[in-house]
Amino acid sequence: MLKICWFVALLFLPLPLHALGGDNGQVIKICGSGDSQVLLRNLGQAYEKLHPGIRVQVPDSIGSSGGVKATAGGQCDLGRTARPLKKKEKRFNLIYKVFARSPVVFVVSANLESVRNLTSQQVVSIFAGKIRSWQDIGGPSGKIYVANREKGDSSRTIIEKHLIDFALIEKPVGATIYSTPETMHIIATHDNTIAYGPLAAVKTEKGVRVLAYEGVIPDIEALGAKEYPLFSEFGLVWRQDVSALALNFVKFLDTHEARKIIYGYGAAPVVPEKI
Amino acid sequence: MIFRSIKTRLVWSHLLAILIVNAILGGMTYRFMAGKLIAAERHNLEFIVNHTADMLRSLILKKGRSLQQVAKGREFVEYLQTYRELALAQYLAGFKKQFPQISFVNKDGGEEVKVKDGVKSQVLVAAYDQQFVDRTQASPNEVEFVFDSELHNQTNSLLYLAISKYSYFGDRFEGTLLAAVPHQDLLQEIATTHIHSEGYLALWGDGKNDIFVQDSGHGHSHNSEGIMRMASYHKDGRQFLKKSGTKAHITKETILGVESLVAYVPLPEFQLNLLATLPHDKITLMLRQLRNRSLLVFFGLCFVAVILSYLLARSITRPIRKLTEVTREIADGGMETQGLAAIKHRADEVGVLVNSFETMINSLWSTMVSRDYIDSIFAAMAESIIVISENGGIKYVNDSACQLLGYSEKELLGLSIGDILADGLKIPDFIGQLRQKQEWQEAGYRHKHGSDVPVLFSCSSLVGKEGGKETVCVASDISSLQKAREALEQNEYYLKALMKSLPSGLLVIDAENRMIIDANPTSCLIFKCSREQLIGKICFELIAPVGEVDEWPPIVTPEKPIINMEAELVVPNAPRVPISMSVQAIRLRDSLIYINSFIDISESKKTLKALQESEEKLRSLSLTDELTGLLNRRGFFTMVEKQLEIYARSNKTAYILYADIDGLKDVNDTQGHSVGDKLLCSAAKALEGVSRKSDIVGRLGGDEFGVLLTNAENEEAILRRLDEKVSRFNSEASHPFELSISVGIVTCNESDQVSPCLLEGLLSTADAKMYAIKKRRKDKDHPAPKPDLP
Repeated sequence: MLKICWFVALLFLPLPLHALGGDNGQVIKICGSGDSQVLLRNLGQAYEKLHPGIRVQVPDSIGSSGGVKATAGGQCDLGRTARPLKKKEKRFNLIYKVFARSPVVFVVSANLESVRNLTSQQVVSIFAGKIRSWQDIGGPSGKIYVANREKGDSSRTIIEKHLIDFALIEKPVGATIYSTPETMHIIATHDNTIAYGPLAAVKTEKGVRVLAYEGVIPDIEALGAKEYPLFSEFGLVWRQDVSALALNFVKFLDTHEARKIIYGYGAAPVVPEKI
Repeated sequence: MIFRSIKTRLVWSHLLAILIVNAILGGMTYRFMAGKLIAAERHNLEFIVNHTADMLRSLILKKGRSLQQVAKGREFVEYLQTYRELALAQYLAGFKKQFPQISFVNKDGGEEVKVKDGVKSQVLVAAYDQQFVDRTQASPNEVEFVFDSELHNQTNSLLYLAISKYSYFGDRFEGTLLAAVPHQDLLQEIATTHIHSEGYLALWGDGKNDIFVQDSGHGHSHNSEGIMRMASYHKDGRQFLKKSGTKAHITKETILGVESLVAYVPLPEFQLNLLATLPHDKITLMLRQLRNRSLLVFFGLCFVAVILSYLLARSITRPIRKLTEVTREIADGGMETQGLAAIKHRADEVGVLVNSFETMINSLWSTMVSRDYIDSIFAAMAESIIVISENGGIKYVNDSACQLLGYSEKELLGLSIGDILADGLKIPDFIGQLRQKQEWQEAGYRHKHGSDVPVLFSCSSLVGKEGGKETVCVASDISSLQKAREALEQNEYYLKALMKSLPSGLLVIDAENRMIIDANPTSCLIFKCSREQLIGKICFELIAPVGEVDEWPPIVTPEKPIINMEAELVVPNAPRVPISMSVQAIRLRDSLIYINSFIDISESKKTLKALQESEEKLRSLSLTDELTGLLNRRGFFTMVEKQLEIYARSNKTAYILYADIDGLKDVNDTQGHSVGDKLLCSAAKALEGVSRKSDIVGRLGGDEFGVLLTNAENEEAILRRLDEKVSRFNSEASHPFELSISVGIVTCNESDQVSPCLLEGLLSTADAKMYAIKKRRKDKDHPAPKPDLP
């Protein structure tokens, strides 16, 4: 699977440069997790407006691990992550910064209007295949189609840490999807589907409904009040010898304009640490 | 005439019969084996094609399962539109090993992505009709086998696998995965099968002109991928294929211009046909090899048949030939039938014939004597046999005659009987007399070297082979007998002379009745009678034993002779004559003879007696004292020492008395030695008087005596008896002297002593005691003068 992600990433890397062959070469390339992909693209567009002539390139997801490796290898200026660095990733001596926290939410297709909340027990039963019809949890009649994520995905890891029974499911039902945008696209385009992912990746997706979990609606307030337990941290990594251009973009994330955008995607900006 | 002998006829008849049988059976066997060979090849082809078809089915089904895994592997239909095409191509390229060409056809029939050898390839916008799409859509998750001419033109694949792809989300039909089965895979599968060296396999799809042909190594006109156009493969295309059933069909077709045996099996589920082809040349070659081997076996069998026929004919004719030989031999006078032993135990008719023949021969033997038999007897005889004709010519001699006369048989056969008879014999009379008397008579042959050979001669007449009168002369050499006779006469003469000259008497006695049968002159002299008077007398009545003997007359055997036995001759009217005789038994023929030789020992007896008396006297004189008659000192010591040894073993007490006569010197000096001698004799008697017969008394020398007392009570009793004797002697008035004896006694008892009693020591002790007593007595009778008192 990692090979495919790498291939997809490498396949797309040359496209923007080629497409933007006419600019002056001021490009900041940010690659990595799909969780913060949509958010960073919007932040990049805002940065580009403030700094004409500079392009902020946010390619499709290659995963947090792919982002760390690509940054360490010099293929990207910045790497986007949806989890803290692993022990083996720290040997790259990259600088890591969390710039936002986003709730991890359960989402369903738009046709399931009557489904608004899921308990932890229902979540486990649905993904274990014990509940197979939406009617069983108060929804309309119809089979439940589960779009699960691969083992190691940041959102899945957060749910597994919080919900042990979820981690203990031996044979999860449904199809395994390997990227957050693809997952959200499936939910948006297929009825009676359910998935999970960061709220920041869902916010702008049409045809996707966010569910309350254990009666708590996942938003910034609930996150700030620590009422909602599931959240992921969006971070950036860069090398010691990163360009000043890229560092300027990092600094931009602490600006008021950037915070506004982060809030707009249902995420909470993090007070910047010393860089 | 080549077929004259039974052997030849047998050989040729057997050979001919075996040749005919071989030819018939060989032809039939060849036809049978050829049929079997062709059937085996057909069966082999059928088996190969069926087996390979099973292998192909297994391979294609395995490919289908792989395609199912590709379809289930990932929800690739949900790729985002931005990268869907590239990601889909990448995903499919991951299976290039299993499927070098694979494409995804969307639900409209358009080829969305095609990957060939791992690389995205150009797609066909509207490659497939709705019928194809509907067919795959109707069978979700099932592999369809597709054969499409358009596809084949592009890929050179005979077979395609298709599987519908439904999206998990909503079970929505999204399109079809279409994968070509590489023909190399199929060829590799069938390439593992071999049909001899020239056979090959071909894979032929329905509705197509192209076929895949396994390279048989003979340069078929297919391209590098093993593909060949149908038109060049078979002139009528695929018309000969019958598509019924799934089992192999077999036919004979001209394939690639070569007449071949073809086995094929339809694979309708894959729209394929599998063909196994074996050129007929190969089968023809094998048939030719079979024919050559059959011929080789045929000739080999013929060769063996010749050998067997010969051996059989030989086995049958050899006994007949042997019989013929034996018959001829018997006809020639021989009686040898051992040659039949090897064949008479046969169980067949020949064996019966031989046994009958042998029975016949035995019958002949019981009634006739063969010439060989007579010759053998003559040859084995020790006597010389000479057969002479009526005119005296020698016609037959045996080996003994040749040896006796020193001639060879050939030399003798040329002589006359007169040439070999000793001088002085008139032949006609001599032989005529003998013929009449039929007796043995001493005569003589003349040896070749001229010497005469004495023989016992006998003749008898017989009728010869030609009917003539013949005489058989039998002679036995008696030259050694004559020599023995002369030697015997000489010995007899010697013996008689010996008997006459012998100084001792010699009697020859018949042991059975003890009768004298001969006597020599000496014996006549001893017996004082003539030889004739002695002969006929019983020997042991004339000889008497001396003293008592165990048995008389004695029994003498050759093993137990009598040597120097003393006896006496009983001579009438004369004293007996002592003799020393030796009797030896000898066995002559069946009788036992005693030879009794004896000598007169009268004179020697007298001489011996005188000698013995002289010796006795001498011996007596050496041990006794001539004056007193007692033992002298040597005798006393000899006897007493022996007696003491006896007493030492019996632990009894013995006494040694030592006596000395008082005053003997005075008597000798005053009254003369004769009175002194009387005094000594009186003392000796006195000492004998105190001793018993078993005691020993001896004069030791001069006036000293010694006595050994063995049964005395004690010393005092001895002294008292001696005093009594002396006193009684002295009381007699007739003695001119007075007897006085001084004695000393010692006791000897071995049990009381550590050392043995020695006579010398005892006498010395007794002497000391005696001297002490004598001294005390002298002192008493003549006291010493008292010294003057001052």
